[in-house]
Formats: sequence, C-alpha cells, structure tokens
Amino acid sequence: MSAVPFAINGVTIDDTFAEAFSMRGARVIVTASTPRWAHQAATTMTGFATSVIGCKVEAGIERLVPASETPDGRPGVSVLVFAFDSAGLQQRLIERLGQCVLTCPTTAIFDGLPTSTDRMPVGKALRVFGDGFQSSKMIGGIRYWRLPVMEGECLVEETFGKVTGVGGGNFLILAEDAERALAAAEAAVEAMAGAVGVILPFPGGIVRSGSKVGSKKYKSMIASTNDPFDPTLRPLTTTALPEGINSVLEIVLDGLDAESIRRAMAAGVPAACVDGVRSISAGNYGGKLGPHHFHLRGIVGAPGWTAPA
Amino acid sequence: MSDVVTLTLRAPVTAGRIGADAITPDALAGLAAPEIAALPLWVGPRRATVGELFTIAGERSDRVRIVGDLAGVDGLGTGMSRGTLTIDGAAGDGLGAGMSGGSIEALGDVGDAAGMAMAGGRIRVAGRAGDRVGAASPGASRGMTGGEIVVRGSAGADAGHRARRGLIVIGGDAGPGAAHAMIAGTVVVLGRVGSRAGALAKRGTLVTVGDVAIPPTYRLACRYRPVVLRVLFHYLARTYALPIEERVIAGLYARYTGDLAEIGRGEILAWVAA
Repeated sequence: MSAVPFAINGVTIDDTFAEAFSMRGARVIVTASTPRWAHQAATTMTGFATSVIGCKVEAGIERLVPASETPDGRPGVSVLVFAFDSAGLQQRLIERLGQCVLTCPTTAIFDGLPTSTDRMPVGKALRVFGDGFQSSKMIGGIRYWRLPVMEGECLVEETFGKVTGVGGGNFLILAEDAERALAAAEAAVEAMAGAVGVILPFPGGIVRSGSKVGSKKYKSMIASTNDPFDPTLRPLTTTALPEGINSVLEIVLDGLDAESIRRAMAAGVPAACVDGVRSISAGNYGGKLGPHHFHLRGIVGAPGWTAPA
Repeated sequence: MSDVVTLTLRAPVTAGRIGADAITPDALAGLAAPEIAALPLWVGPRRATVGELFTIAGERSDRVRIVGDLAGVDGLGTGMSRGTLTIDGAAGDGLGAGMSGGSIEALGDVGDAAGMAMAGGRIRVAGRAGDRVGAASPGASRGMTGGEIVVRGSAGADAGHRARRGLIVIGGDAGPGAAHAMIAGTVVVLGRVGSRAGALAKRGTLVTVGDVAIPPTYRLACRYRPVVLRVLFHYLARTYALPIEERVIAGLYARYTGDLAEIGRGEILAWVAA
C-alpha cells in the first residue's frame, strides 16, 4: 500500500481493492449455422443472469469464436456461467441450455473447458428430451448426444467441465456527471471486450445500482442500494463520495481465475480514466469476506506500490 | 533402454506364413535384445524365434518399428495395450487384433482382420486393408468394442461386422457387408460401398459418401445436414490428416433408418450431391 497519490490522465486511482469471492464456473461454446444464430442463442441463455443474488447465476458472452476454432467448424460464441456451488451450476446449465439453446435453430452445444477433470453430466441430463430416440456418438474420446428435434438434430456434449472461478471483481467510476460516467464505463467495457476467461454480467457490462449487503430498513432484503456511493443521498447518509462527484457507475467482473480478472481490470481501469472522471475506486468488505483482493494500484502498475503483507 | 526397438526382416518370407503374436510393444518394453531375440514365432507349423527371422536394434522400449515386406507376417500387435508399433511396409492378417490401447501405424497394405475384436487404441493404415476390418472373431458375437481404425485406401468385405463400439474409417471403397450386423459404433466409407451395407444392423451408423445400395429393410427418414458429421470429419482431418472435402463435411445427407429386420435403430447417412 502507498499513501502517495497516483493518477492516470488526472484521474485518481484510489489506494483500495476490489474484494471478490470464489464461485463455480463453466464455459459453453455454442455454435450455429451463422454467427447471427450463435449469438442469438448466447444472448438468450445469458439473459436474467446479472447477479447470483436474484438470478441464481451470473452469465455472459466471453467472446465470439471463429469457425476455425470450434469442434464443428461453424461460427460460435463462448459463454461463461457462474454459480455459488457445483449443484447450482449444473442445474442452471441444464435449464438454460435446455430452454435457450436446444430451442434455438441450428445450434450445437460444446464444452469449453475440455481439460477440466471435474465434470458435470449436463448433456447426459438433456438427452432425455429425445424421449428414447436420442443416440450418442463417441468422437475422439468425447461422447456427444444427438437429440432429435423438429428442425433436425441438436448435438450436445455429454459432460461439461467446471472450475473454481472468481466472482465479484469490480471497480467504481466516480464522475462529475452521469453522462461522463457512462462514457467512461463504456470505454472501460470496450477495452475489456473479448478478454479471455472473463465476463461482465451486468447490462452492457455496467452496473448503476451497486449494492451493499443487507438493508438498514427491510430485514428481508439480502442486498440494498449502496447508499454511501449514491450521490442523491449525500446529505442523508455517511457518504463515501468526495465533493464534485455526481454519478457513479460500477463494472463487475467474473472470471475463470483471478489472473483473468486482473488482466481485464488492467485494461479496463486505465480506459475509464477520461475527462470528467475524478477517481476510480473499488468495492470491498474490509478484506474479511472474500479471498480474492484486486488492488487497483497494483493492477495498473502504480510506481512504488507494494502488496500489503 | 532405447528410444525405439527396430526389427528388420532378414529375408522375404517364403516358407509359409509367420505367426508373430509375440511382437507387441507391451512385450518388448521390458526385454533386453537377447530376450527379444528369444521370443517365439511360428513359421507355418514350425516354431522359430524372433532372432532367427529379424535383426534387432534397441531394447526395452514400447516404441517398436518393424521393417520389411511383412505381408506374410500375421498377428503383429495382437492384444497390445500401450506404446506404438510402426510397420514400415505391408503387414499380414490380424494386425492389432484384440488390442486395447496404444497405436499402430502401417505404412503399406494390410491383410485381413485388422483390428479384429479390438477394444481400444488406434490403427492407421496408409494403404489398403483386407476383409473384416474391426469385425468379430469367427463365431464371436461382437466385433470391435472400442478404438479407431483409419484405412486410407480401400477395404475388403465385412468391415465392422458385429462391431459394438468404435470407429472405422475407410478412405476408399468398401467391399460387401460393411457394417453388416453392426450392434453400435460408426463406419465411415468415403468411397463406394458394396452390397449388404448395414444389413441386419441393430444400431450404429454407416456413413457413405460414394455410391451405396440401401437395403430394402431401411427406410428414408429425411435429408439434412448432421452436425455430428461435421464434428466427426473435423476430428478426422485434425487427428489423421485425412483430406476431406468441404462438400462432404458440410454436405446434405439422406438418413435411412434400419435394419427393420432387426430393432431398426441403426442408420445409414448417405451423402447426397447437391
């Protein structure tokens, strides 16, 4: 840690860290006859998957996969899916692949973590949609299920790998107004687009309603507005906002490992340092809850910064 | 220990066929050269040794190379479970029969019953293969139960006869009875297929690219573009460097289901010219 101010393009990088948690993650490769339909399937299966708090799952598009890299030689999309535990991850995959990809014209479904020895029988569960007419094929040591559908056939890999990933990497963009906060957030998202092993699960990669744990007023709420960072509440709460900050946006990152998140943040944080942004901060719980700490100054390579003991 | 054990045939085989079941990577992996030389072979009805018929270079390796015209040498790699066996020439009957692992590469033609009743591993044949590739042993209820056989050239009759699992690919034409009485698994023929293709098959897939006579006990289901074949062909191109044209990979296939004289859960996927 360092008490020396550090800025990028005049934007202060706070000497703080994002605190993130372990999650179970999977990668799904969806292919289709055209990029349009692969993207359609991926978009559909990653809907309503912004936060495990309310959606039981966090999911997003990792990157577009060229036909030369997919098992069937068709254009594809890589999707990352995260849940709190293995059972939840498997169930969410079965639901989303079954309802959103199996149903989508021309698609096929492949595992994107083939080296993972920790496997989930997702395709094996989906096969029963074939009502006994399904058949399997072993190709190169991998079992695929061929599910008869009205269009023809849907191909799905029998098992999917899972890893212990990281959820809740984040940084906050503190800006002079909402327009410039959004412009900065868009620039950050653009800079992180296609980062391998990372998704930004919120709409367009951006969160305007960052939350705190629990609620001051409603006991049933497990999360509520992050009032210290709400500019409209500055006089009514213990604000964390310096003078001149009138809008805050958050970028949340989930990754298959901590290093992937670190690399993405190293691209995203500097990109957010544009005109009208005063500082970049991050959300944490004092380091007591999450095992993964992403120190902003360490990530962007601030001179003299050293990791805390 | 050597990187590879090389056996070179001393002279062409003229005194009857040689039974060489003893030559497997499993066996040679733990043997010194004199012990390899003492391994038993059969020359017709006569007992012989490896050392009488082959010169030996190297020892204690599960990478084995055999050099010479071995068209009269049967049983090479029988029952092998690991390592590699490269045959720098033709090979006789029963190549890799009953093998469960490892890989065999034959750079020339091979005889009958290559990969007969094999359970795992890979056999690559650069030339042609005889009858009963991956088929059942005489009288047995099951042919190959796993593994992969890729023949670049043509193959004889009854490829995949009674196969239970596994993959057979024939780059050229296949003789009569391909996938005959197949229980499951996959037979791919990139050339023409002889008569009785898929006859009496219970399950499994026969993929044909050249001409094929569909048995009357099969029924046309539809014409479509099976994604599973795209995966299969890309795998074959990647793993075996098989030159498969895009018109085949992405092509239209007629799916026939049968054999209705059996349980009818098999299929013939016959490529259709657009």
